This record gives sequence, structure tokens and C-alpha cells, in this order.
Amino acid sequence: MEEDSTEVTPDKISAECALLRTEQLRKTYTKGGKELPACDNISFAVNKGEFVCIVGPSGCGKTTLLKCVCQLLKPTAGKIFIKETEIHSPPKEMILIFQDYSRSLFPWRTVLNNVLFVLGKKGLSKKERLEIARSALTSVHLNGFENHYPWELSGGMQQRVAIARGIAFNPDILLMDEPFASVDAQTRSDLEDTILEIWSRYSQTILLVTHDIEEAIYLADRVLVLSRRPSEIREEIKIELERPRNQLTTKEDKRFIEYRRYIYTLIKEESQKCSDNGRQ
Amino acid sequence: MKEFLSAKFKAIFFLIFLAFLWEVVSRNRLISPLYFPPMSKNLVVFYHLMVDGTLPLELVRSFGRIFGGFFLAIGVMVPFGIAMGLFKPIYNLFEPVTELVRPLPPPAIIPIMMLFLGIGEAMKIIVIFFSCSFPILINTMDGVRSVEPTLVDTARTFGRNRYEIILQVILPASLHQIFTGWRIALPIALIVDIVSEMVGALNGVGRFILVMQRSFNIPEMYAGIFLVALVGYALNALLRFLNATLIGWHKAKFEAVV
Amino acid sequence: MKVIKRLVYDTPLSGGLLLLVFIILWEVLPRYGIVYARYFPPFSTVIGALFEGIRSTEILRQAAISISRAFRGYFLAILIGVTLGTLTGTIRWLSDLLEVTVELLRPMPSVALVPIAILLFGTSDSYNISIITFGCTWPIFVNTYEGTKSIDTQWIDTARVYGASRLDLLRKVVIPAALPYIVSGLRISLGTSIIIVTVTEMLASYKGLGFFIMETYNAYQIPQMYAGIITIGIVGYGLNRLFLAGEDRFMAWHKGWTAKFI
Repeated sequence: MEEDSTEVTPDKISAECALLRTEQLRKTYTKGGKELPACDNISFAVNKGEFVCIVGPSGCGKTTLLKCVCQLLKPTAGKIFIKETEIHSPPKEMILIFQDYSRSLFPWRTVLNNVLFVLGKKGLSKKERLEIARSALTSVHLNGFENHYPWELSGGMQQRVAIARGIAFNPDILLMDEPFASVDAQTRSDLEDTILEIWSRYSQTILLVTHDIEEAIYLADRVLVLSRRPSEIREEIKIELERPRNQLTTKEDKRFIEYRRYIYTLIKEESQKCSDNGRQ
Repeated sequence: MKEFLSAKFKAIFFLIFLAFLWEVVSRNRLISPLYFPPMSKNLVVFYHLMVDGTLPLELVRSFGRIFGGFFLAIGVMVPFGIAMGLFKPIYNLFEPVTELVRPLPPPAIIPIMMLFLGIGEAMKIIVIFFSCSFPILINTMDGVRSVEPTLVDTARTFGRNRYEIILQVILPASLHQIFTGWRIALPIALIVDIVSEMVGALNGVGRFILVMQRSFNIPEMYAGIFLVALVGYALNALLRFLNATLIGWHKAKFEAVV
Repeated sequence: MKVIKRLVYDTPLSGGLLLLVFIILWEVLPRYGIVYARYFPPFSTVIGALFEGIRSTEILRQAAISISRAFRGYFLAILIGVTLGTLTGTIRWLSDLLEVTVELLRPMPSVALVPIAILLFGTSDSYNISIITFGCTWPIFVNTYEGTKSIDTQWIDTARVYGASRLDLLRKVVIPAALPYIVSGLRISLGTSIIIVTVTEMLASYKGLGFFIMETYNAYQIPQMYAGIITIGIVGYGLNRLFLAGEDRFMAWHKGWTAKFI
């Protein structure tokens, strides 16, 4: 993995294993002649089967980063590689699960049809598609709600439908943009565990963006900490906690608390720089 | 349910009360019975004209034009509106022209059309087409443009191409607004048809009302007016019913959020 | 190349060009007899007639008459519509009582009542104004009703907690809160007033722009007829713009507030 500017904690991972890799990714918005840089010089790699979390100060461009990685936004500069092949448009190996589920589920389709939608282009028979959709819904514990409409479900359930879509599609890489930000704390812990469960069952590669430091540490193999806007990778931290993780015991572990303090301090510094500079 | 029924009863009762008031005031000559014949007389005449076919015939003629112009406007303006809503170059091309033509009141167009087309069917259908066009165009355009971008992004991330996105995401998402355009345009079609008939026509309900007034057949005139009121009410109810059944999910969703 | 792309995508330049093409066609086609010039005079002739009409103040006078009638009907409609709307919005039994009657009267094309108005008022201004009032009341009424009904009860509760009286409540909470809806109804009705005044004048008036159009049509003064039609369009457009400008000025808070929800 080529990292020019940032520190790398132990384990250098060789480029050959990397499933997803970015190289000097940069995204600058231009609005009415003014330039608003969002991310700059982002280079990292994710290996097959890894669970990587990205955290950073508010407004540092995390969503922008994810959208660039899956090419829903065109990066201003830099490259993205999947299995060492450069990509230029949303690739079929990778999907993005959005933060705002209420805006990403199709309100005119039932829960089942929302999941079936993603299987439309896979060339499967109707029977196969139904099977896959149903089993995906079962993995997120929503099997009784097939014929409901999204707005009939609670926030947490809606997000699970969105996740079910991801499972049904079965991509190699799953990108998630603060997927649990819009639900209450209780639901969030449940969803975190659900994701881990799915991850261990289907062994996808997951890249998840969150503002919640504890969540990041809880879920990840590695945590990438972003700087303030324009964001770069401030630091990479390998999380050496055992799996399977547990909401109670893992979070009481001394190492968890140390990681948390460390990352919190990093982010606090970055936010400080932000407000010291006056404007973002 | 009981509350709903009692509310409806109150309302209908009130209407009957008004009719009764009209009857009494007219019979006692508190208002000139020449201009306001007793309601009973009007209703009897109305009944006769409906039953012997005079009014229904005129109605059919009017409807032919109303729906003709209306559907023509839908057929032309919905695709056009979608194109303008989706593709900025097309929007930029046609927007100045449409913005310039829009403030023209449809009735003002009638004399122009009469020059070219006389007072026949074609004139009225064109005028109705013109007057329905803008609500349909603008609502279609707005509907398409205000589709939630995340919905489109979702389709993109799951591998849909441009045309599939238009068909499978943008159209269903904008259907509500497109239909709103139709809901606005249909009453306009009714109004403009009546106007054009009064200016110059050989048949139709509007013309009927005017002719009855000019020949001082006042109860017959009211009969025509009642018919128009009923038609307006029926069209309105029909549109609301269609809106609820076809686009029901939208309303329920809105209520769930609110 | 990139400049051209930007011009096409970001500016209405192409639209302006299209407009120019249409105007050129308007000028050229009648002149070369491709379109019958009597029914479709060249653009320059029409513009000439328009300016002549302004210079001789004929068009201006007719426009003033139409606008005066429209406004009188419009303001009467505001009075009736806002009052009725606020009352039905706040008093439940009243709205129940009136419901069916309103639903029957509201979709009624005001034009259909023209013959009654002719009977009652002849061809005086009252004839025009009565129809205008009828037609313009409904959008204002419905919007005011919706506006008063949709007030967040929390606002009312907050005001009452701080000791507001019933009248206070109405003036300081209900009406400002319903104002956006009311304003929307006002805007729609403004356009409606112009349309209705035109129609009523076309059918049975001896003054005004609507009458002017029919008169020039019957006298075969076609360029003048087009000039009159364009004037109506300008009046409608101008009034709408004025209204929007006023709305911006007074309703700025609403735009900011609703923008937050987008």
C-alpha cells in the first residue's frame, strides 16, 4: 500500500492484496467561481474481508469521500482501483448504503419490491430473485414485513431494509455512509450487531463512515481518522480487539478505552484547528 | 363515522335550506321573480331538460371538446415537460419562449383562433389545448426536477443506466406532481370551453345558457347553470378519487412523515 | 468548445436565440405570403399598432378600465375570502355546515354565471366586478381555510401559556401563521382576476381591453387586435411580477423557514 504523507501503524499491507485502493483522491467543489475543497490527497487501501471505519470531525467531507470512491461523484483528481483496475463509473462490485434511508427507499414499492429492485439486472429467474430477497430480509430480521411500505416502518427497520438491499445484491465491497446516524441509540446498537453478524456470515469487505468514535472502534479492524476539511488521512489505527465483539464486554476492555481516548484526542485537535481558522 | 355522517347531514341540510330560502324569497317577490324564478320551477325545468335529452346532448358536445383538448395537452406536454425537466439544454432552449407565452390569458387567444378556424370544434379544442398546456407542462417539469436525488443515486449505485433510471425511478417519483398538473388543468378546460362557447359556438352547454338568457327563458338558463355546477362538482370528485387510489401511497407517506 | 458547452448548459442563450428565430419568422412569413397576412400581420405591424395605441392613449385607457374593474373585484374577493376562510378554519361547525355548498359552488366556472350577472347589472362595471369577485373568492377562501387549519397547535399552546386572549391569538398567531397560504391564494387570484375581467369584457362590455379585442376583431382591425392581446399579456405579467416582488419583501421569513426543510 503506497502511503506518502501519513503514518502507518505496524502491518504494512502489500498492494497485491488490496481489493479497494484509492490514490491521491481529491474533490473540490466549485460554486459560483469559488473553490470549496472537500478532500485532498486521500490514499488508502482496503483488503478483502476487512472492516474499515472512517471517522473525522464534523463536516470534513466524509460523505463526499464515499461518494467519490463509488463514483457517484466524479473526483477532481486521483484514482480509484478495484482489484488494481481503475474505475470511472459506479462499479458493480461496490454499492453505497446512504445515511438517509427515507430518501433512498422507493416509497412506491413495498419492502420486498425494494429489495427485488436491486436484483433486476442480475439475470436471475423470478424464483431465484424472490429467494434471495427473502433470505436477505430474514438476515435483517424483517421477514414478516415484506408487503409493508417503507413509511409504515420505523427508522431502524427502514435502515435494515436498506441493508437488506445491500445483502441481496451481494457486492464485494459495501460502502456505508453513517448508516446508523438517524436512529436512536438503542436501535443503533442492535444495528451495529446486525452488521457484524452479516459481515461474519457473508464476508464482504466493508468501508463504513461514521461520526461516532465508539461505533468505529467497535466495528472495525482498522480505523482511518480524517483531518479537518480539506480532509486528508490523519492517521490509521489497527484495532486489536478480539472478535466476536460484544456491546458490553468489548466496550469495557481497557484497550477499547485507550483507542477511544486516542482517536477522540485526534479529532478534537482537528476540530480545534477548524475553529481556530475561523471558517471551514 | 357517526361524526362524519352528522357533518355531511348538516351540510346537505344547509344546501336544502338555501334552496328553500330562494323559493320563499322568490315567491314572495322579495327578489324579482323574473331574474330569480322560484327554485321549484327551476328544478322542474331542469329535470325535464335532462330527461328529454336537450341538456345531455349539449353536454356531450362540450365534453368532446373538453376532453379532446385536455388529452391532447397531456399527450404533448407530459413528454415535453419530462424532457425539459431532465435535460438542461432542452430547458434552456424552450424556457424563454414558454415564459413569454404563459402570461397570455387563454380567452384572449380565442379571437385569433376564430380568425383562422371559425367557431367550430377545432377552434375550441386548440384553445383548450393551449390553456391546459401550461399547468401540465409546469407541474410535469417541477415533478421531474424535484425527484429526490438520493433515489437516483440509489439506482445508480445498483447499476441502473440512464434510461432505466428515468423509467423506474424518476417517473414513479414524479407521478404525484404530474397528476397535480392534470388536476389543475381539467377544471381550466371546463372553464375555457364554456368561455369559447359563449364567444362563438354552434352547440354546447355554455352557448345554451347564453342563448336561454338572451331569449329570456330564465328557468332554462338556470337549468344549464345547475348542470355546469354539477359537472364541475363531479369532475372535481372524480379527480380526487383518482388521486387517492392511484397515488395513495404518496398521501399516506406524507401523513406518516407529518 | 468548453465555452460553448457552458453557454448551452448554463445560460438561456439558446432559448433567446429560439425566441429571435420565432420573431423573425413572425416578420417574414406574413410578408412573403406564406401565412395569410390579414390574419397574421407581420411582427413590426403589430408592434406599430401597439405603440400607436399607447401614443393615442387608447390602449392605455382601456387597460386602466380593465385593471380598475379587476382590482375592485379582487379586493372584494380578498375581504370575503379571508373572512370566510378564517371563520371556517377556526369554527368547526361552520365548516361542516358550509361544506357541501362550497364544494358545489367552488368548481363552478364563474363564466357560467355571466348571463345572470347580465340580467342583474346590464353592462355596467358591476357586471364585471360581480363575476370577478365570485371567481377570485374561491382560491383565497380555500387557501385561507387551509392556512388556518394547518397551524401547528404548539404555537397556539405556547401563546396561550403566555396568556394570550382570543383576539390576540387571532391577530398575532393565527393570521401570521396562515399568511403564507393566504398569500399563495392571493397570487393565484390576481391572475384569475385578469382572466375573468377579460372574459366578461369580451362577452358583454363596451369598454376595457376584452371589449377592445372583440371590437377590433369585428372591425377587422387585426394588428390592433393583436396589440390588445399582447397588452393583456403584459398587464398580467407585470402584475404578477409586482406581486412576487412584494412577496419577497414581506414574506422573506417564510422563504427562509421553508428552505430549512428542504
